[in-house]
Amino acid sequence: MAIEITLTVNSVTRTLSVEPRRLLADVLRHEFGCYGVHFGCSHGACGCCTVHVDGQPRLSCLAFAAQCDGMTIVTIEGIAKGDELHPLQKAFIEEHGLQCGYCTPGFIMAMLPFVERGGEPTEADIREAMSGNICRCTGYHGIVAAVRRAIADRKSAANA
Amino acid sequence: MLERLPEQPRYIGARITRLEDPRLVRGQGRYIDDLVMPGMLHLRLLRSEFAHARIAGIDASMLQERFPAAQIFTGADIGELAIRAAADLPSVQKFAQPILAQQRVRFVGEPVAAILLDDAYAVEDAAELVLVDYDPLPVVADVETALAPGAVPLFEGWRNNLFIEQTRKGGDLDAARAAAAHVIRRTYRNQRQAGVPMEGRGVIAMLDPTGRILTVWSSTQIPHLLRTYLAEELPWPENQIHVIAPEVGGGFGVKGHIFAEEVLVAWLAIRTRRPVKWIEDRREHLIASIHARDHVHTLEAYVAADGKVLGLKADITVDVGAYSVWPFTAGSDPGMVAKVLPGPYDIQGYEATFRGVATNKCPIGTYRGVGRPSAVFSQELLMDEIAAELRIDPFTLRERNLIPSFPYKNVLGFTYDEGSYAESLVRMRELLAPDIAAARASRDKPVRIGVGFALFLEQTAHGTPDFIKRRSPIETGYESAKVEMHPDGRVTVDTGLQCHGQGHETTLAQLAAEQLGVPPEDVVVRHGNTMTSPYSVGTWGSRGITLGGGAAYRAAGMLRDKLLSIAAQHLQATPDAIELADRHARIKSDPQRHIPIAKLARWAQRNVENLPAGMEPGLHAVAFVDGPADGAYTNALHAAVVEIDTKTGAIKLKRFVVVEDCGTIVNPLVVDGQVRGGVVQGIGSALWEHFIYSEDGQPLTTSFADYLMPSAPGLPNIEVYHIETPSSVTPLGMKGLGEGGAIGPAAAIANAVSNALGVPVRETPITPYRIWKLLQQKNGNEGGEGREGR
Amino acid sequence: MKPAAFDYVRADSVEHACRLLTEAGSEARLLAGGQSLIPMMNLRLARPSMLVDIGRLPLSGIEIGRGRVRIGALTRHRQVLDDAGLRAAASIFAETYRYIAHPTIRNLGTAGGSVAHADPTAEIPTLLVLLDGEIEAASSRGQRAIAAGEFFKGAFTTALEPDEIITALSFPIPAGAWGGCFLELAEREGDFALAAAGVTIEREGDRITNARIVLSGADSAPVRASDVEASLRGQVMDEGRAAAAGMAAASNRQSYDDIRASAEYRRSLLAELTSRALLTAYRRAG
Repeated sequence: MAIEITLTVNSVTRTLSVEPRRLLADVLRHEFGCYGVHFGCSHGACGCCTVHVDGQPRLSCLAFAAQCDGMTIVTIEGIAKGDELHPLQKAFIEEHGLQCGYCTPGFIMAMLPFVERGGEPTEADIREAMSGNICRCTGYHGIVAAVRRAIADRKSAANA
Repeated sequence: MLERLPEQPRYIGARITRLEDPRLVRGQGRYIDDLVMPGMLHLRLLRSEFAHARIAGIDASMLQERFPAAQIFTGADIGELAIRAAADLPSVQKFAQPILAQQRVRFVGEPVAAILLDDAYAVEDAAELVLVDYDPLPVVADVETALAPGAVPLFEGWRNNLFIEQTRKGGDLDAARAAAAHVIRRTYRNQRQAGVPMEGRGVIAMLDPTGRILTVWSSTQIPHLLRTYLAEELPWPENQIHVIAPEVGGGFGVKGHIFAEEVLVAWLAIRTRRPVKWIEDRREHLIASIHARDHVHTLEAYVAADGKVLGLKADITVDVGAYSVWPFTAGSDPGMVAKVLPGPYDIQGYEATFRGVATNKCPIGTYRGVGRPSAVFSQELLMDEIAAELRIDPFTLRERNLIPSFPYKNVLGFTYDEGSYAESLVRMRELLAPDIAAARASRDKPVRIGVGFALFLEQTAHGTPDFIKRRSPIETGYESAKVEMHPDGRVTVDTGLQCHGQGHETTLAQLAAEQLGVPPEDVVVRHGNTMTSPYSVGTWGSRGITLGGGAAYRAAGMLRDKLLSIAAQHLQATPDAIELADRHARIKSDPQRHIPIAKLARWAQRNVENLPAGMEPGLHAVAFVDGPADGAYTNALHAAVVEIDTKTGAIKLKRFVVVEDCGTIVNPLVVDGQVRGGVVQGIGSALWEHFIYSEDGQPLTTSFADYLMPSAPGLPNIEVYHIETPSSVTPLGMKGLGEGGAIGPAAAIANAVSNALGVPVRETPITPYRIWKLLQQKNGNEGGEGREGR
Repeated sequence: MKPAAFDYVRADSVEHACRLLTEAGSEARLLAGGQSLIPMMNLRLARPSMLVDIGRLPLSGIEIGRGRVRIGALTRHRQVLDDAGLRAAASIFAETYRYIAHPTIRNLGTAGGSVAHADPTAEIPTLLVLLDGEIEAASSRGQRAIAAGEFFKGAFTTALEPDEIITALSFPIPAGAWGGCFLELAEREGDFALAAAGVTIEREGDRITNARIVLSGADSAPVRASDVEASLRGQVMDEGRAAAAGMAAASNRQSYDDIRASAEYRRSLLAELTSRALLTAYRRAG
């Protein structure tokens, strides 16, 4: 039983035919070439597959593409502006927030709204916000530092 | 002649952001599951549901009816293909693990049948239709059952259920025993764990159209070893196999093995003449890749009145599961404990008996730290218990026992190079002073603070002599690199190392750049591809920067000499008057006289008439570095401050401090990342990670809902302080550090909890429930004999 | 870990969804947020032959008025956490919701979904029982309201009929001064609870006029400690009374052993959490 759905992924709109059971993560990877979306567990416990659906972080391993008909999706491939990395991506590089890189797209997508909200989050706030993402390499230190830095960088860019 | 650090290094020691990061933060890294080959078949493995059973029959009739295009292969089709991993030592008993089960299964998750179909979803539907008829056999679910008198060996022809049992000794234990004022005997346990890189295993294999060239992609840390193994086992001409490790999403030693699945996928590609892809899911990873730890140690210390440990006797048992892993073998964990227990202490009498016990569980393999986390756990908890019993301050006790001077030959004959053990203790005492005071003030309060630490050393960058002694399938410790400069002056470093997060693309670029006078951005480091990478045993064992980095530095040095000679002729000076910097060769005392390095590079390959007479064209060099015979010893001191709610058992880790010395540091950003990452894995071992089997060998923690790993909220910022004591036995004085972070936390945290509770902790993980039980027992209550996971 | 095949229909109204459930029988499941169902489907532990997607039905929203809070079944956890009106009316909601899973899951998970799933360690069922809540359900046969105290029958088992859809949850806001507290212990943030206790206290001056205590982890569904509640009426709370009440609430509970902990530990934990929650709820009511 295939059904027709329309998805807008990183500003590209396509209509495609999918089996209802096809996970959004698989459709993004194989039908839209967004291989930056990674599977870590397939049961919602690690955050590697996080994308934005209609502006909100969502686990793409816990969504059927069919559920997302008509929705707008942004993946890690869609957040840089050409050569210009998003401030959070830059901050990850500056603060050594990644090692093997496998969990990184999921972390960046999960934390983007938090960074954009800005404010004065505490260490505990930042760690709580990333509680659904697991990193095995970094021990989280560089990731927390990257989030803090991105918030600060955006603030100074706004004040400049 | 070992290379020494330049006087004023430009790139070595610099905190450079990583060259590999821009692609990774964009999601442009291509991991094994991102690779797609036309005509690819997906492999789904049917795995054993029983811990121990005979396979009475496999019925594929429903599969063939509903999925006529599916292919199925079982042990009967595979023949003798196996993983053969045994050390050549007298007590070792051998059994090769079949690629697909032959007549018998010995752990839940063992591969039984291979099903192939062209769709990743449909192949799971297809695999479900295959019916396997199992005749259950008695399960050997634990060490006690395996070693009980009259226990039936799991393997035909074996005397018992021991993969290996051996004793090693040194010095004079009898003298130590005779001279001792105290004998302190304790037993310590670590739980079984899984390694869990965020990316699981995966393999793709494919024949080229001629059917002669076999290409295998694998998320592996050891591509060359895989190639050689396939050549020997399939068999296949080794010059017609290419192995490529794509972007690898973490390894931690888990992917430093050769798995049945890798051999299987290669065989299937040959058999079916189609590309075959296998990607494990998280459940498969947790139950059937490798496990780690699962040790019981009984230590007996012979202690003088002043706390000096005169001698140590150890009995070491590891539940190593159903098969011996390649290349490190079932003897790896227990043997390593026996080797490293003397630690940083001047112990003059030593005897350790170690054994690896066969049970119906997933095999134990090498996971970050290998036997060392468990060894340091026992060693450092024992030291704290000695301190408590003799009423000596724990820092003072360590200081009294420290090796006195360097180089130091320990009781087993290993020579330690220079370290900063005493200095680290002094430093840590200062750093912890406020917490020690807080801990004292909290005694008898409902919320208690505890402080604990663990001092240890880590043998890294082991040289070939160390491996020869092990007599296991990993025989050699050298590493090599090829460095080439192209006509445009840019550089390629081909390293034998396989990078899976360690930052070698940056650190090796820094090392090459240091020699060649070009910035690191001009250097591309390639790795993981047997077509371009020189032969290597791979990346594990904290060997990468010392050996691989050393080789890259050495090979770049050979190029440097050549460039200087070419420049010397052109600039009419001697080579030692010239420096390479900022992409130019220039006279040191007269920098206006210079020539671009790119020009020299072009001459060397295109306009060779400009070369000095007799000089061969070309600008590439290969260098080899073997590790020191006894390795290079990194030292570290880990400390934990915990806060415990004694009414609920809830434990919070308030502070974690590391003082470590890994010799010369190439990139502090990378080193700090390795230390912190390792520490958090060690914290996971201490507090949360526990792979649990039922009494009949059924795995109970088969998803991340049950196998709990550290997440950000429960962790403090890990404080890292460095001391740099360059090694005298390695290039540039570098030492290994990849695993060190994971070695100390369980010991430090256990000592902290013991300090908080006033009751010794001797087992991990230290959960709220276990804390509550300890307090119940301390208070004399009937406490917690509930049935919970072991 | 790919799910087994199923037919998929998007419901365009509650009536449509009810009709589909009636026609398809027990093999059909509702798909709301999917944060509990889809993991089970990926692991092939759940294999419905049909999914009825109700995710876009107009069943979300929080209404506060006439002494009652009403939360639409499709209200996402994040919306509940962010709602200022709810925080003012019943801050215990924000306190409890913090324990639910993780931020990204809270974007999708729904109130109705959590209640229908009835995981024995889940927070929302415990909260609903604590607040004397009601579950509104619709089917082709009509609508009904089920008291929370009767709704949760056991692990993953509720009073919901196979063809019923939860449309809203509601609970009364106590008229006078009241305070609530929810405390949970899990090994890591967001994990399934080892045990949890929820308490509300209504007071007049120093005296307790009403107390409610609900335990999670004492049994396979949330349990009210009615006897202890009764014994607190008219009393003034202090540490000794709270401790005794906690012990009484937890004693004789069957609880359960599992790989994480023993029943005995859970009882001890429940006693302590209840005692602390009583003190905090009492203070907040003041």
